[in-house]
Amino acid sequence: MKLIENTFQEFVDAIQTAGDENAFERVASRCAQRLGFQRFAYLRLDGDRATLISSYPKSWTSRYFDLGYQQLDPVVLRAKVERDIFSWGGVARAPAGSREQRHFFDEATTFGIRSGITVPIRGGFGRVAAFTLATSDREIDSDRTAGEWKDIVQQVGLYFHVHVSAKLEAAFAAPQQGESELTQRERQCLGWTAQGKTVADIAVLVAIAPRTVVFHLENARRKLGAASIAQCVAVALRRGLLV
Amino acid sequence: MHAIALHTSEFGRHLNVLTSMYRLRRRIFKDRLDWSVSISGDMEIDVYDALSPTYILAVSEQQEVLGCVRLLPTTGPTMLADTFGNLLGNRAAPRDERILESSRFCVDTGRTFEASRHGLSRATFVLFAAMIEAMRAKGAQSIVTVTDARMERILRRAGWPLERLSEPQPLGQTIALAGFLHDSDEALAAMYRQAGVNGPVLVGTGSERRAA
Repeated sequence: MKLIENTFQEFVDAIQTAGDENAFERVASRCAQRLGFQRFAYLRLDGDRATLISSYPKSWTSRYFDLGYQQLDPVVLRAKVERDIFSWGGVARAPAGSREQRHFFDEATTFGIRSGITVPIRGGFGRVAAFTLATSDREIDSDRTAGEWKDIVQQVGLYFHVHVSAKLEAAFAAPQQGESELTQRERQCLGWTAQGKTVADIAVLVAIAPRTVVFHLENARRKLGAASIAQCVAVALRRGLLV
Repeated sequence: MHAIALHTSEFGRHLNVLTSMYRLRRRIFKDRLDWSVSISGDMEIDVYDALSPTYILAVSEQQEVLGCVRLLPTTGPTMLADTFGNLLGNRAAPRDERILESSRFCVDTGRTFEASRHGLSRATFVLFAAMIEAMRAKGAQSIVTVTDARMERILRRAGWPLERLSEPQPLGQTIALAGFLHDSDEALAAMYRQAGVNGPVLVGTGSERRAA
């Protein structure tokens, strides 16, 4: 096997056994280094919720979130709309961009993040993630985003994403558990919501106060770990809790 | 045309066909069927791919991927239990070492011109035969799958009828149902006949093929 195939195999083997965030970080960090990059970052956006696993300096990532940089980070903004893997930084850096964005890049450079490759990932239901390999080099070789290189980096990004989803985001919940988790009333209220009924409608249908409907929906949302009632309905349907 | 079974431990060695498979899946499941699946660029990979599946691929002599299917043990998470649980009503999804789950079955209809009987491409029969062979190699006796009414018809006509586990129900744009495909000598013989082969279609993926 060639080096690059070896690196990919090693990554695939290692990520199978990764069970927590630290292990995921180690696996991707090692893979990034074998591919010639000092750092990696995986950013996942679920509505307003952002999750980051990275080997970036902690001083940089905490500053990043404190200042809400994910709102203006040109790499994140591009990952949201781009379909294919792309490189950034160096001469490829857009000369345009706001003053804040130029300042942002200058700041990132001081943390050793100068250029990189980003794999944009579209999850189902509007979720977006970006897997980035970064370096302090001035520029990314164009062959790093073409051919076999591109295929490997893209698969490393996607694999990282689905393994994190499977293991850290509780994509698979034991159905028996979930069922006993929700009360009869919670299932009822969610079921009607899934049918397009409003809180006021449900209050009439179930003969309880609207306030109580909201109470049950909120409880269900919390139990299923959903960010919104809409997501809660989707999770409940997916797990077959509303039948 | 032949079939290969790819395990996680062989991904690096078979990167080309692996990549082609993820591309084919994107073309079929995202571009054509518009499912809500995880994609990046021209590939599709989902959470069930994180569970060390075995991929069965129908490959041409030029190493083009003509079709694929994913096999998972039912002792861990499965699409039937964790994604399509509502198809089963109150019944529990099968969890058994002797049952595998198949998903993401697809054939590149744009590429396989060697159509045979029933208007189905040969790749379909090669894949069906390889599924039975792989099931035997893993010591399983049945495959459980979520499929649609059209596929159920194809299987029946091909001589590998689905034993329904649920009544067909609307799911997104299609009518979905769950069912078992059991191992049987008659089914395997029927697949070989329609694939136009005399014996096993699944070939090893190790170095012996490279040397051949």
